[in-house]
Amino acid sequence: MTKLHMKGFVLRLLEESREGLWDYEIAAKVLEEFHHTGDYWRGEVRATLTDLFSGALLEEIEDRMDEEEYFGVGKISVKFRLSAFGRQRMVETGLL
Amino acid sequence: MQTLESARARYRIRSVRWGFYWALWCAVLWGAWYVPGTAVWYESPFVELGSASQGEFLLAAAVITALGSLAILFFLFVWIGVLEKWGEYARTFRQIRISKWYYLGAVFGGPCALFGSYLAIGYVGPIFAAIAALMYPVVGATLARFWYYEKMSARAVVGIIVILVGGASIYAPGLMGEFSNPDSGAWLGYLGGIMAAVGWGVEGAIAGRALDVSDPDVGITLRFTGEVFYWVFLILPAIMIFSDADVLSLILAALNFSVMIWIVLAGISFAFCYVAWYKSFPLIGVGRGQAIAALYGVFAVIFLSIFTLSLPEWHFLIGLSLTVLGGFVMFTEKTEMLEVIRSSDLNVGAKT
Repeated sequence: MTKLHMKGFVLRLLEESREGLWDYEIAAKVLEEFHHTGDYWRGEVRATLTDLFSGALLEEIEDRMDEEEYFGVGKISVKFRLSAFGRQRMVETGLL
Repeated sequence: MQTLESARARYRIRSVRWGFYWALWCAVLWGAWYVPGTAVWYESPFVELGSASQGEFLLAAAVITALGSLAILFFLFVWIGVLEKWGEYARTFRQIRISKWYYLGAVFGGPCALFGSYLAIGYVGPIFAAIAALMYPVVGATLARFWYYEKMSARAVVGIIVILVGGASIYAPGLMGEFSNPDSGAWLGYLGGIMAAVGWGVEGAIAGRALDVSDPDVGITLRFTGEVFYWVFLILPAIMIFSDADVLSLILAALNFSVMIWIVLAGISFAFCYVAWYKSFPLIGVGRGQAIAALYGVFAVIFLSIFTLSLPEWHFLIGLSLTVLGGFVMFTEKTEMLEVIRSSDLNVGAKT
């Protein structure tokens, strides 16, 4: 199967996890999939999630302080799930 | 110790602020582009062609736009190289149902908007071209609102209107002079002005759709890959085949040091202006992103004043105040209104 691009991969991940995923869980899976490491790529995943949330493709279901320090002390961790609109956009763009 | 509440508020405001910063950065670079974009017309061989027949002038505009798009693509390739996104470029390129939107956007942004702008400059004047293009957020915001239900509060509409009135007032006094002194081919210039406003507006709306599901840095690079393909493999060869114009010798004549300097400067400013434009859309929406980017009217005057060492007219201050006020009206909108830019309830069932 052709490897998906990052936003496509994130959307597919969330589509498969109906109960939602924490941002650090998504970051870990993305970094593993694309063989990336370091803060830069963790930041890229976070920026990607922000884009998807702003566009209403994702919904926030929970948040908490980032005690694991995945994204830095004082930052927030968010648990996302795919929205109905996100699923619709996946169907329209051949991601589903 | 930071509370969850304050961390949450900071997290929400950050993405929105970044959207505005990107759009403002786009406006600065777009304004800067007017210096090399205008100066290139004063270099040989274009300076001789500028006053020539309509056919030759159209060809010059096409060659400048084509060379410009090549320079832009070069800098975008460097950019995604620095960001280590070449792999992402290849992966997104293969997603035809996503990348096709960027190629469609390239038709509206390149051969329609940019080329139309040059026509407007040539046949009516740069002031008319700048005002006509300033209207593009109206097209973009309207399309985004009705096509994919982008949220558009009354406050955002007021902000857009104030920015547009401010932009228009900067150029309005000069516009009368251009209208009273039309060229024989003036209708081509008016058509070009409409092409610029419609082209950039439609491109933004299309890009907003594709950016839902792909990366902005990669998206803009795909969009210019499409435009370069259109110019180099379709439009310029078609002109060579179907007209008597000597396209090759004009291109060869343009490959001199002075022209290349301006083309490279135009390329670097427009490449990163476009990067910022595309990065702002997912964060604050196409309507707001385009309206803030329309502040380029102010920056164009500032950069041209610095370059020509001549102060702008006094009425520039009125336009400047209005555009800054319009930007402020939008920038201070409540974060809750902006954190999700779509009315998601309405989106399901909407047609693409």
